[in-house]
Amino acid sequence: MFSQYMRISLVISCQTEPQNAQSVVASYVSQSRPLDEIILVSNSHSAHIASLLKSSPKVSVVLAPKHLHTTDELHMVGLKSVTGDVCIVTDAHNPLAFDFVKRIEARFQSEKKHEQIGFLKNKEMNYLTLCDHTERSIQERIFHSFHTVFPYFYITPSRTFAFRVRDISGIKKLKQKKIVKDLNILTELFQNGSTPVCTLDTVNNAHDTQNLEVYIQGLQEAYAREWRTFRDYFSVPRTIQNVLSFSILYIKNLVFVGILFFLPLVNIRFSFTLLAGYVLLISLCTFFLAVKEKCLDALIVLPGYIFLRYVRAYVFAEQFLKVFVVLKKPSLSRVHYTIVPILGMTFSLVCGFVSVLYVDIFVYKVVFTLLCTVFFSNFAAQGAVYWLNNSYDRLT
Amino acid sequence: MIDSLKKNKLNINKFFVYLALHLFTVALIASVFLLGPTQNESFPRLRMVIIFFASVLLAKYFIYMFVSPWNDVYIAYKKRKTRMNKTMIRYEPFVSVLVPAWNEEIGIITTVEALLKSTYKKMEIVVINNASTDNTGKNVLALIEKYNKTPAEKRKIEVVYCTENAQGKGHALNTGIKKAKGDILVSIDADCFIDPKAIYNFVQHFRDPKVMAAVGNVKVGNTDTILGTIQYLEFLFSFYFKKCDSLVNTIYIIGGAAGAFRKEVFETIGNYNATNITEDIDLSVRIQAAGMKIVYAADVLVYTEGAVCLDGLMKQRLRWKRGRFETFAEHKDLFFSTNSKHNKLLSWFILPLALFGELQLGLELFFLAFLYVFSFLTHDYSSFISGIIVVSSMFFIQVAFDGKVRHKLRFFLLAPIGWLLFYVSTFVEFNALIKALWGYYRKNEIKWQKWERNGVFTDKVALKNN
Repeated sequence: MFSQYMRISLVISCQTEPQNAQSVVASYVSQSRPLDEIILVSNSHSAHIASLLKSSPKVSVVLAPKHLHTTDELHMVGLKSVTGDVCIVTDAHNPLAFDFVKRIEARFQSEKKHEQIGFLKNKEMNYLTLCDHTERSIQERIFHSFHTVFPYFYITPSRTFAFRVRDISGIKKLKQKKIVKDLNILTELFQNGSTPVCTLDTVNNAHDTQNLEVYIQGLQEAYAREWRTFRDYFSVPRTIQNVLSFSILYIKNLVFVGILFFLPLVNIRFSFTLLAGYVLLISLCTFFLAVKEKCLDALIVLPGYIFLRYVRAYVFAEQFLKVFVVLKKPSLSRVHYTIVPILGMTFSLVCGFVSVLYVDIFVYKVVFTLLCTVFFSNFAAQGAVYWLNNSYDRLT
Repeated sequence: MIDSLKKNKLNINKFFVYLALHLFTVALIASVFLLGPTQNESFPRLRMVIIFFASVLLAKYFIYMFVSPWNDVYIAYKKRKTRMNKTMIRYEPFVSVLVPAWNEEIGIITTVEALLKSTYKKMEIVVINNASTDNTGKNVLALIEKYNKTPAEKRKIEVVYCTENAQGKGHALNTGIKKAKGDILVSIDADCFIDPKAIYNFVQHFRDPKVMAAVGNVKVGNTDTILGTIQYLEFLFSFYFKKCDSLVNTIYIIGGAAGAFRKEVFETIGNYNATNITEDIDLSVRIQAAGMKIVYAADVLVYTEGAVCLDGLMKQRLRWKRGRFETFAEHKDLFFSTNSKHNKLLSWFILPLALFGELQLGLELFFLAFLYVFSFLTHDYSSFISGIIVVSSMFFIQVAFDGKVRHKLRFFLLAPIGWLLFYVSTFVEFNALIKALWGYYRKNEIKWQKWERNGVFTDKVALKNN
């Protein structure tokens, strides 16, 4: 039996001119399995990359209005012109591995496969990029394993990913106003019941993170996007599994922030024990990675890796404050009904435990514990009401 | 000019009173840290009795506070289920709004005008002039005449005016029921300001065919004075607790200020009992006795004018208290009833607890005096501190989770002194209890009382409160 020919389109967003435009263009046009359609969406009208790509066949360049800034806004413009069966979405800073399209095609031959998240690899290595690469490799391998066991696990959007065009219903009618700002294509797929899969063999190369400043900037952008996605889609997932998987990444990072920055203030001994355990775990992971990828350099990244964890945790918390507190983009009532119940429930639980364990006078112990229960109940009910009122409306 | 000076003086007085109460609370808390409590084992039995009464009351409040918010979850769940099943069919029954008025020349126009601005248009307003001796009738007729001159396409709500010469709110409402054409009857006091969405929200609660009556969320509108603020907080407490009662169908008071009923209710159990001075409580208890379902509609906002002087407040509470006793005496078969129609929770728990509350109120002043003397002698302020913490937290929860976040900040500041503010209402309630019991024993007659009205419900005030 011959498999049906699959038309593969590539949508590239270009906001700023990449430094290595030629190598990026080369990675697109010299794929081992040629692309059927390349759509470049650019808001910088004199882009060098556009002129380079125009010389190749099957390329159409779409000039987007200058007021569109985010990657996703540009992707939305490009998606309207897509004619292929499978669409790969990327941005102009990411050259693809030469067999990227071939591997994607192989993956999508199976009807069950929906989306593939590209596996990022740094191309030019220095100590910082090596640390970053190690961390990313470990994380993506963990995600991959985790995803095999729990297919509902929500994967945060990556820079490069592919999906079947038919999975986004009415792709031509998608309006930017309907799906909010950044990285919403994956979220849209997620809403339609698709489960994105992270694959390690579809590699695309990253060129950034050459120095710490750029690295932090990139992190800030990425975490701001993640928080915005969380803020705007908080009430979207319908089932409890989805809610859990949707929030687990954020909770994980927030717990990490707590352990790194706040726990030492409360109990320094316990925090050191935890940190030691974490370092041991990372050591094992990096050792495993060094053996697996035959890259012994990975063994020297440990101090840098821990430093980067602190940087990431700091930026994560910083962006949380920025998106949820300073920018105040969501309406006050939404913050009131989402963040306040979560914080309130946590605070009530902590206070309840403290009063049970540490309050000596019986009357106070009873009163405090009961009050914490009452507060917990009220906060939980507020959260539940908000979720019940909004999740269905936002879906429809 | 004089008005603004008076207002400034009032605000300054209020500020100093609140400041003094805050200082007293802080001093009491500070004394716990500064003075170590001494061991004192005197009056063990009396202390046990006080602890027993306090424990029952606290347990009741904690249960209510724990369960109440889940009524909102239940309502949200029901709404979501309806939407998901795509059964959101149009439900627009004809509504009759009954407005009984006795000497309400100041407030009646604002009330009717607010009703005319309602977003729900399939309704009529029935104003019943109950033997008023002031300009109530004249004002209403002038308003109707003016309304009838507006273009027909804008006149979607019909206004009916009738008179009832027999004095008493029950008589007036019964006349209104006879005139009403609606499937759902809503009763609104003539001194109230109703939210434009209130009638629509009321109607939505009747989508459930089991619901036979609903009680609205009444708030005190005139909170510029200390007395008004106390009443506002009192109403906030009692209506918050109604959420819990609604969840388990144990509401037994549908206030006259905002209540809605299916017409079948009156066809089944009869009209208002005009001889009872709290005809609304009597009707509510009869509805419960008939095994019908009453719900609390928190989204139906109705602003009422609270008593502006202590004397007026005392008269109002006396009427409520006496009416409640009379109703309880009339429906004593509802207590500890084994009748399958009666709600067992109401019959075996809520109503007996209400009587227990009255007993406790009767002893409260004595208990408080004892506690003060005992605490100052022994420096053991644990009972006071617990009371402050509990009342402050309850204030905080009810203000924070009332659904409307705006205009609440100043009430948060009152949370620490809530326990002191409630002494005023305890005193008023105690006074009403004694007088009601004495009057009930002597069979003294109490009439529908009238107190001083300021007519605070201009649109501006209502908007501010909204």
